[in-house]
Amino acid sequence: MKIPSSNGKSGSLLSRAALAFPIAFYSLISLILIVLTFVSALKSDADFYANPIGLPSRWIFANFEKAWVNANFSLYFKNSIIITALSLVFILIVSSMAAYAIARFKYKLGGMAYIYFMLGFMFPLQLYVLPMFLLERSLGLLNSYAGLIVTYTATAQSFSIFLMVGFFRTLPVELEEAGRLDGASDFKIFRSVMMPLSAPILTTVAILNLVGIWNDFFLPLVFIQSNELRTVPLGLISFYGQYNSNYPMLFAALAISIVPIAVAYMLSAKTFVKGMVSGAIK
Amino acid sequence: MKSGMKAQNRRSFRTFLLFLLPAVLVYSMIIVYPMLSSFYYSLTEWSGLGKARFIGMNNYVRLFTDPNIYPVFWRALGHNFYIFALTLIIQTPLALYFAYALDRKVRGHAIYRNVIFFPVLISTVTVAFMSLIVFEPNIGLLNNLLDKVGLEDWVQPWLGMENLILLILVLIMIWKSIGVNMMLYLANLQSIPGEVLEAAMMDGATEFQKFRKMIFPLLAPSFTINVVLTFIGSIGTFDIVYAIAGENGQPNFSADVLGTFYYRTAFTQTLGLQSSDMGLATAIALVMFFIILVVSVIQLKLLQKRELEY
Repeated sequence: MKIPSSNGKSGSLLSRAALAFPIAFYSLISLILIVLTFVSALKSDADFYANPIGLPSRWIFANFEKAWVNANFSLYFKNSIIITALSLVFILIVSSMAAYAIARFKYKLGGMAYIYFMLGFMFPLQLYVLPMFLLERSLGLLNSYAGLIVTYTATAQSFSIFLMVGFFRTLPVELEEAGRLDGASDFKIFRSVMMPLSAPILTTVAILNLVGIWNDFFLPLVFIQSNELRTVPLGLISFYGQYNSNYPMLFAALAISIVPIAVAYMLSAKTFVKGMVSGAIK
Repeated sequence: MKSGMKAQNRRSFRTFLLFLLPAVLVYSMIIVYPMLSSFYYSLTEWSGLGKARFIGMNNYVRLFTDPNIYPVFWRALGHNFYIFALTLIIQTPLALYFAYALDRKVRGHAIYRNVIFFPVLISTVTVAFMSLIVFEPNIGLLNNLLDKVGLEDWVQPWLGMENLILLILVLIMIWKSIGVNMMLYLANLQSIPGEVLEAAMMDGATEFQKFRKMIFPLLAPSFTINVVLTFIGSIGTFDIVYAIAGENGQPNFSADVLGTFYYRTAFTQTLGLQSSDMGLATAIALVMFFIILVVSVIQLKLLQKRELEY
């Protein structure tokens, strides 16, 4: 869409500058806050307290090392990676299969299953987290990777199925029919025809859940008790409780929690923005 | 049903079920079953150990009449609504303005979009601790700045002040999430047909007038979404309060919200309760759900009426 640009009158130029200034200022402040998180982590304690805002007089990595080793962030990081990665794998497999059944097999039951999954949108997590906790306690799933992974797989279904059904319905049926004429099984068609075509929607679903699970605080808070199984956000809270005035080390821990997402974001900012925004309006 | 599929109907239906089964199983077991049982739990008295005892509507009665409980509930609910109002008032003009500036492609717009959006991807807990850079009393930017410009009297322990804590939590959350609101408004702006927008642009004198008189009315659909999203987010507030103000919403419960009240009731033993009170906790959750449902529906009805007028 073309928007009429400023017509060159001085008043208009002025108002364009006025339009740009506040957003530029806000972005600058935001950027400074993000950069300061990393820069503060590179200062020695003495340096930091003498000069909390400016650049380090000497750049040191000791805080990262301390956070990583002494404050257990290597462990929390590993836990977060295992839980996030396995949950993503299960979410993608389970929800894409269900979405394929709903979108591509014309059974009435499929439509009913779709409505059944969409009911999940209505209910906030807080409504069922307590009975879920009790259920998982009775199944021995509390305080384990498996408990969190199965929970994330379940909570992600409604939205992931919603996005994928929408996408599958836009794909032409001819490719599948060609596959079927060649005698390929439904599983084969699903795996070698549908999945490759579905890369964009799989990416969107993966990003949404990646960010959601990596950053989740509430479920690990409720389900995880032992220190060995803490995820990064949970680790940050206990770290702050334990070393609450060791700021450079805290900032190193914060930086560690941001880095994976920041790297992924820099690789494909557009995909992230699109994915997260479609996630907001579920 | 597609004619080509008829021949292999039987085999196909089995495959269909196989594809559907894993999702149905995990979703029914982990979401739907607990969901349904929460209605039952809300009618029982149970500390989480031993047997639950059926007590009818008693938990709801306690929530609204027990003098140890109802003041906490109303205070928390009031804080949630205060968070909603503050967020809406501060965030709406800011997000609208950002979207408008991006749509007008001000110089550097791609950088601004990425920087403003980035905090959406950071966890609330991380953002909470990052905010210490600004609000921490000794090392924070705010107090250091006030000190430098000669306003030493304004220096405050920002995160320890009963009357300011909610405002500060709201500001932090807006910083974290405004990227989404901005992008929703931007998508709406970009969906307005060029001619409509051009006609709107011809009239107004200043950018601000153009925006207020011509463009804002066209943004009613995204405004509706943003109001409802903000409401749901405000009633569900938990992480930021827990990270900065703890499970009691310190100082002195001034940041206590329904989420923390619920959490304490379900999982810890403060509040003068003998132990975890699973029945009362589920009752609180159901009341929260009811509030979200009723208010969201009212908001949608009212705001969508406004959309149709334009």
